[in-house]
Amino acid sequence: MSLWNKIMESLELKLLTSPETLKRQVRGAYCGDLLSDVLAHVAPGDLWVTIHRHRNVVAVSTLTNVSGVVITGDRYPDRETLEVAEREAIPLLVTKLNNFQASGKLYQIFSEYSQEM
Amino acid sequence: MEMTFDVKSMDFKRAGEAAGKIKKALQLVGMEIDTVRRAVIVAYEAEMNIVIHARQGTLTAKVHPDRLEIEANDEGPGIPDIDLAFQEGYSTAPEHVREMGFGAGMGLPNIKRFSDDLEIESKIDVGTQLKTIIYNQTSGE
Repeated sequence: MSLWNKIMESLELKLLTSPETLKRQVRGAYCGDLLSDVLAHVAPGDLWVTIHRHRNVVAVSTLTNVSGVVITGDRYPDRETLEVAEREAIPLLVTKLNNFQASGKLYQIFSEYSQEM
Repeated sequence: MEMTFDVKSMDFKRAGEAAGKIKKALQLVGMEIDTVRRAVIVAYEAEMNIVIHARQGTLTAKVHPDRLEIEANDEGPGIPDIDLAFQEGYSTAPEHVREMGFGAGMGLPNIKRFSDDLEIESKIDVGTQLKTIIYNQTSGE
């Protein structure tokens, strides 16, 4: 199973952008709701876990080259944010899990994944 | 190469566009990955400071072979206490901006941390001028 599939299944993610946006390799993850903190600490290829769902999330994602955004707590972005994400090819995924639960599952996946390699 | 972008107050729709254009230009001229990363952080924070705090302003990037200069000039309220503004966690951003994840009091500290040189001048009720230099190198932090 690909890493993307494993993550989608474990976090029960729903992809809101087109499948074509899932083009980047996931290299790790970072969780944060302060945009300046994410900007300074997220690494290219990270999956960004956040409660935010406004369009500035897409701007920060584009600038930092994250592989995707996991919006937690069953929050859905508005149509405008989805359009920007589609244009910038940033996958937006939603989950019912909260930041802690989503990050915990990702931590587990990456721990196992690095052992397999 | 030099480019200047107008930045409007409270325009959260276009926020990040100037930093994005600077990023693309730096990638095109082949600046080091780490230089681009640091420039993006400095440019975005400077751009957001204008969006959040100023009436209007400009973001300028001057690209030299060995370095990059990023300048932010704004017309706005100015910064009464610059030392305090550089203190991590200190912010005067309004509540609705903080709810979006901005205004954590990390903007100027990030600019300082990711640039190699920084000058700031501010006049109350006139505006703020910020000049930063980022040298083009693989690991500058």
